[in-house]
Amino acid sequence: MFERLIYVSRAAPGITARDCYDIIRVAHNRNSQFSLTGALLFLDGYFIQVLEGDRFRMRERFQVIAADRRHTDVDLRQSVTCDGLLFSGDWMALRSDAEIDPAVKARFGYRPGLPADTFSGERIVEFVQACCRTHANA
Amino acid sequence: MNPFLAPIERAGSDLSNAAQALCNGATASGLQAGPGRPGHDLTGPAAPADGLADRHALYVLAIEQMPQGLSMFDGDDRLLVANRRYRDLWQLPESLCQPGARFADLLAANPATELPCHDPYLAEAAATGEPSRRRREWQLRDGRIIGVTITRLPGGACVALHEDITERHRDQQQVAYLARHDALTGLPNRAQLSDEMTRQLPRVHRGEELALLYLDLDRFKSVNDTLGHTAGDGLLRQVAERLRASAREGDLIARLGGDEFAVLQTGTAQPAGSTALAKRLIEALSQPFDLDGHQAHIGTSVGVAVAPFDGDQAEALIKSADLALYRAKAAGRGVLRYFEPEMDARMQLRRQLESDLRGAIVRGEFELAFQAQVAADSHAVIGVEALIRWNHPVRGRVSPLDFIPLAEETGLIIPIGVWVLRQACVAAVAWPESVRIAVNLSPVQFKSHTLLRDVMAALHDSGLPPQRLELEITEAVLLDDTERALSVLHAMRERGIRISMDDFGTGYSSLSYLRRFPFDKIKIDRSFIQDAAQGGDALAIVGAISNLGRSLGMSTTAEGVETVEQLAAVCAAGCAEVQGYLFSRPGPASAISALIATHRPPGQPTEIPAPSEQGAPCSNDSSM
Repeated sequence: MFERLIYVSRAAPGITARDCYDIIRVAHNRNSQFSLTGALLFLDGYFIQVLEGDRFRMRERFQVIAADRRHTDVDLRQSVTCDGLLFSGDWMALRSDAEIDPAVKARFGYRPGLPADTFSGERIVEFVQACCRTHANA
Repeated sequence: MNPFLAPIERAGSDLSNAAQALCNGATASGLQAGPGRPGHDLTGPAAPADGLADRHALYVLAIEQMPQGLSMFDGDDRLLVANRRYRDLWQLPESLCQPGARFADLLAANPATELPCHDPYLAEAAATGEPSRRRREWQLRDGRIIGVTITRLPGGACVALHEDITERHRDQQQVAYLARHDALTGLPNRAQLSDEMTRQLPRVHRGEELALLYLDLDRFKSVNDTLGHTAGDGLLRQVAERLRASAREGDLIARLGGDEFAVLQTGTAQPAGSTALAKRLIEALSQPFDLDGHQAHIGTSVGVAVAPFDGDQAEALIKSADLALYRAKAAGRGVLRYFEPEMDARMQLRRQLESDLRGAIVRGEFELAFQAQVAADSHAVIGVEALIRWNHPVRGRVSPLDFIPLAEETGLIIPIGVWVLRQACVAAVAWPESVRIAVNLSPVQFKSHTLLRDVMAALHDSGLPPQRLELEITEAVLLDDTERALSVLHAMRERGIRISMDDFGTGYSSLSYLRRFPFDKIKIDRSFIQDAAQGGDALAIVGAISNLGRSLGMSTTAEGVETVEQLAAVCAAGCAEVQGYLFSRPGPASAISALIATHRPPGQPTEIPAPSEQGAPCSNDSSM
């Protein structure tokens, strides 16, 4: 059994491209170290992350993530137990609008921060997967 | 002096005048060879009619026989003189190559592409004040390369020497290629990678990103050692092919030496681009390789540095990628790690620790602590384990967990191990003959050819009988080069030294090792003992290992016994010996001596009273 967790947060004011890259590389290294898979998007000033893996490790990581001062308004959109991994063996991060296929954004009716009224946890997962898929195939 | 040149030198002014006249548009007609020298025709002015005719004929002959092509044009780029070799080299029809022919027409007759050419003559000419001279190189359509050395004379005329430098050029190209490529795989080498990075990095200042991926093959050494260097070379060639196939156009793949490779990735957003590439590389190299019928399983770890974040100079980026690779390898196999600034800080700390470690023996900063091993039934002290301690002058006591891996990695474990052996043997001599001394050996020590000699020297110099020395190894000793390790172990045992298997139950715990070597003792890892008091799986495993040891004629020791409940459980499970805080904390040799003296009834084996409930549970020390 695994756990999947999705959150959306807002980048803290004054965050630079270097800060953003720093967040992503550390996230990559730690998530990989704990065998956590998923993806992180940085779009229009929002972080959108899907994380899945061992329940204990996941919670340990999320505690660290939530305490990071480089983002605020951490909104946990989903925390569910699951049988399989949607991002099996993968963790990917996209940090600029240019990396996202505009067609994907249009298809999902993208809005900055993926507001909860239109983006359920499942829809966020689908959106993130679609973004990563088009990039991986590029 | 060359007789053909002497007249020229003497007649220098005449020739100069003649040349000047030609440059000024004097008659330019076919120059005929002298009588009796058919076929020596020279395009140029007519032979003089006076007594210089013979000498002139000699000049004609000399010029015609030159291995180089020769041409001379006036200040208006019209041909004055050209020899046959010139026509041959440029494949110019004789009809075209007549005095007065224009340079542009000759060039058009056999179009050539000018090649970039370094010109050593130009600087020399400037320095000496001689007529300006320069070098040009042209490639003809048929692939030949003609090198031309042009000397421009006062007045505008120029003399040119033409040579076919195709072979030389090819050799130079080959040398230049070899200087920038790895001969084994044909991949660019470190020099070209560095140049390419220097060329690409300015793009970073224009907002682009660039990733440098460093790769190091896992288990390559094992393939080289077992299948030989030829197979190793074949493997490296196959690795290069797979890397080429996995990379995209524009990625520069380089072999840095040994089993290290690098990929320079440009033109894609980071870190997503390098993540995707690294995954492809890891996947490609995780598939088995066929080496003349032998299947080899290797793999790779990848460290990534991204410009501009991790450095905007080639050197900084290379260092960052290397550090990231170091962390990737430390984390396991098939791992991708991005550089983080703290890695640099950790590496600096590590280097400092390594430097301190090198001087620690000389400065007397190591000491041994000793922990008693007792018989499970009588509680008699039957052995003592030696545990190393490092008292760092600034950091205080450094945990063996922090410095032993570093000592193993740097090879410092060899002198440290010798020191431990010697000190332990010397200490044990003072204790009763019934008490053995146990010393841990690292797998790295087994790779040293001096291990057996070091052990015997420690025994000899201390006077300790071999039967009182017990060497503790983990199964890691037997994982690499098993045969060699077994042969050393057998040699030790033949000399009466006891051998025990430490930390049994963790790792692979392969039973085959117990068949292949008659260990005197199996030490059951503390992780099972801690849970043994609760019964369940841990206790069942302790019981099973004890039974196994008994069946194989090996004693069993329960490590890390901290409570009376644990003691009762391991005794019930059949362990013959126990070790842990319940009986003895690691301490100086004097404490062990005191322990033995206090609890040893006259004429009886050393014995410790049955522990009470007061035995304070606490964490155990790590052994060396």
